Amino acid sequence: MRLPQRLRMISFIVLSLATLLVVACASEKETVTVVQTVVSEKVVEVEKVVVATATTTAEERAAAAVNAKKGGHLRISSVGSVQSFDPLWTTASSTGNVSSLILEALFAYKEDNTIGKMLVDDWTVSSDGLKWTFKIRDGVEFHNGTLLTTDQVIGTLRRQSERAPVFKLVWERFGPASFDEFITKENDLEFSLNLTSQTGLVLDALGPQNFTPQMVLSSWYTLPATESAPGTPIGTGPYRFESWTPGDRWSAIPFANYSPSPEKSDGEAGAHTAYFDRVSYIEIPDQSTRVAALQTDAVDLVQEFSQDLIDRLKADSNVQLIANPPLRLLGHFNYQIPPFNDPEHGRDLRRAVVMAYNNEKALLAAAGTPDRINLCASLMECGSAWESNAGSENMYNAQRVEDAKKIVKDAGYEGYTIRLMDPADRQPAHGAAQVTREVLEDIGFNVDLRVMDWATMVQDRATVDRWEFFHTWSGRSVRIGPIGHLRFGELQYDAWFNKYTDTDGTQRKLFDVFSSETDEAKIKAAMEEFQQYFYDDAIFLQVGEFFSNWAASNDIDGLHGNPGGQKPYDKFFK
Amino acid sequence: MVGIITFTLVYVGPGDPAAIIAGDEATPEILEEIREDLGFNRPFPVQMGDWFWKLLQGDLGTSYFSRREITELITPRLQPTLSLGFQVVVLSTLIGISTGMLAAWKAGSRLDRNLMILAVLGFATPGFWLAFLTIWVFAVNLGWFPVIGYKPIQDGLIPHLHSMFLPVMVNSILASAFISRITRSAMLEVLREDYIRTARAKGASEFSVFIRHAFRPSAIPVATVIGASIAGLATGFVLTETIFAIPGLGRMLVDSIVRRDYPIIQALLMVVATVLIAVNLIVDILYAYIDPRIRY
Repeated sequence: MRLPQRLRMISFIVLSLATLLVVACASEKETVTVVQTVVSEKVVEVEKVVVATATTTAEERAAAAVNAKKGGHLRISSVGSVQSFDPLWTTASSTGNVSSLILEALFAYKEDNTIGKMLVDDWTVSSDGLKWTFKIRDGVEFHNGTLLTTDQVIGTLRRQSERAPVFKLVWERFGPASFDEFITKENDLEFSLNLTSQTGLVLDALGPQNFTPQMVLSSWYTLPATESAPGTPIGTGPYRFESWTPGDRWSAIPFANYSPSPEKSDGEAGAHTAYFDRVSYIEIPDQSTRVAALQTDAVDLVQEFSQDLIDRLKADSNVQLIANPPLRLLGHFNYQIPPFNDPEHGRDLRRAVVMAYNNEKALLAAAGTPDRINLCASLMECGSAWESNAGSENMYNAQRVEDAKKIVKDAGYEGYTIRLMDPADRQPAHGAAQVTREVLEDIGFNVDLRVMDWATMVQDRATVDRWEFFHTWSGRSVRIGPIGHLRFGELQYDAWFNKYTDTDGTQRKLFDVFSSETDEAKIKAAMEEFQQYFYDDAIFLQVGEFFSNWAASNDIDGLHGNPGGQKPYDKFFK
Repeated sequence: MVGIITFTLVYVGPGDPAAIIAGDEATPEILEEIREDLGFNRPFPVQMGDWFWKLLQGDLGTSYFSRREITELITPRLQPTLSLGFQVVVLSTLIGISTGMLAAWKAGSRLDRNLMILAVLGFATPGFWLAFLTIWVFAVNLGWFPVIGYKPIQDGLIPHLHSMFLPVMVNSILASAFISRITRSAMLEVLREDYIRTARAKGASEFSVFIRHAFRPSAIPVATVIGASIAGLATGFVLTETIFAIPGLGRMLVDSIVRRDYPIIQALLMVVATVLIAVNLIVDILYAYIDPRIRY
């Protein structure tokens, strides 16, 4: 009698577990179907998709473009979550992706870092160099069928006049007070930019920068610059917006009436081609999941993942690591409070930190391994025409701890507490902060390491008396040189967290050369002088360069780093 | 009360969305203009009063960043989270009660010990570690389930269940561990009661003793634990939805916290608080159904 009872009990429990199994089996059965679907899609991609640009040289890229096949679906993992599609309002990279597909500016960078035409057809300059008249291309359509005219151009420039830094610089320093006098409409296809004194930055003012003026319709350009435009983007680019699932993905498809530039494709400038049937940006917040998604063919291209995932990808024969331009790791002094603003000792104390610093160790802490870092003393990009090592001898990576210790002691700041902000959710800044703490303590400071998240640091650095030092990093500013450098340049003169004190006017004098001079030799000489001044005054701590990690499926060919003239970095990768 | 605490915590917390929106090159004037535009310069009581007044009218506010109505933003995020929650509750309850009863039935045996070791491992295992492990095994190596790619129910039930399998399994394993432990101990306690002995003495089958006589009285602590596990899921989903890239409310909360999008944070905390109150209410009602002696 007991056996049947036990059997009934077992049957009950087994039935419960069987229910679970049914779910699993049902899913497993479906797996086969889905995998088959993915495989068949893959075949389509392999047959049809060849990619955008090229391999290493412009010639090879051009040849590859000629042979490129069209079609397929390119799936890119997006790091951040899209909140706004208005790149005129935010510089968030997730929003910036819109720029490359859907919106277009008047100018863009060529492969050699010069300015190339996009929506501009041609321009003339008056004999005194004060009136620049631009003609935009005729027949360019927005994705809703509206023709591009100077109304949209002027409207967009007006909206960006307070935020696009180079445009703002040119207007404020070389233009009339009124915007309506600065930018004037000639006719539907021509507008003029009027100056009160000459500058070599006019094309840059209308070209790529933070908050690049990219042409939009009146529903967007009539909004204040501080207000995010609602809705989805309508531009003149090769792709038009297709759909958005908040928190998941957005996609774009080719714009049938796209009017490409007659110029040859060169870097980001010239004719663009919509090679894919669809491009999707898929939000994958976790870096390990991003990499796993690439390995399982759920996406074709992933950006930004940590060094410890590199080996996993190197071992995967279906994946390629992408050559990517370097980022520049920096350390900021607070120039508005002691000790670094001390009129007598502030400069020496900043120099003490720079001369004692272990740059290699900080870069390794930030980026992981030696093949991901570049010890670069130049305040402008190493490998660019602006590179200079003036003033860096015995200062950059010098590790002169004893000399620095004496300076701190003699200045009377031994034991002074430095509040070091440490954004633990940003590895480059977090890693460097650990080394900075050691260095500061080694030279005699007391360190209050304030661990926080990035958003808190962004707030705190805007408040003068909450910090003495923090790390951040920046991208490239090769084209316009030091005045375009995000961390100390002309564009930062009035920014809310920098406030570097140009006590003797040297910085202003050199900036005037950079913004007004057109003779390259004189600009280069000024660059050498500025680099020397940079280390003499220790404007900030130049830690060095590191490389962010990108990877793609091997089915995608011809990927290269951002156009704009960077040297090939393939030597750093497998 | 929840609203007051939520609003105050968010208000006093560090972070400035205006600084995030402004970017590095903004002048103090731009920064101030954004703060003015977002209403940060108003006194705290005015901001809170305004928020409450709108809340009473069913208006959760507008996102600082997307400038969209929060109800409009939350609506498409509900399905993934509710579906995940429903599947996890059902699956973890099935696993937890089944294994708990099995362990109680075989109390002291090797099977009991092994099941309880698994249960202890279950609630000692970090959720993120289990999530990455399942991705590595079942998605990357075996290729059975997708890493990402949430499919809504409208695309078909089977594709939906398939896309959710790994996150559901991870959360279910974690949640079922505690249910299993509680089921076992509650069952063992009830099995020692005189009326169980009486039931056996009058010849009731072992199945009948377990299901009809023992399980129902021991269901009260189990229902309590299931209710509590739903509260735990609210935090668990933040992690799971982030790792598996599911566009649900948990990820929305994380994204909003990172950006300091206060209206969304407040709205989501209110939603979570409302769900927890509702779950507690349901559990209280269930008590009366499970044990008719309980009256309110």
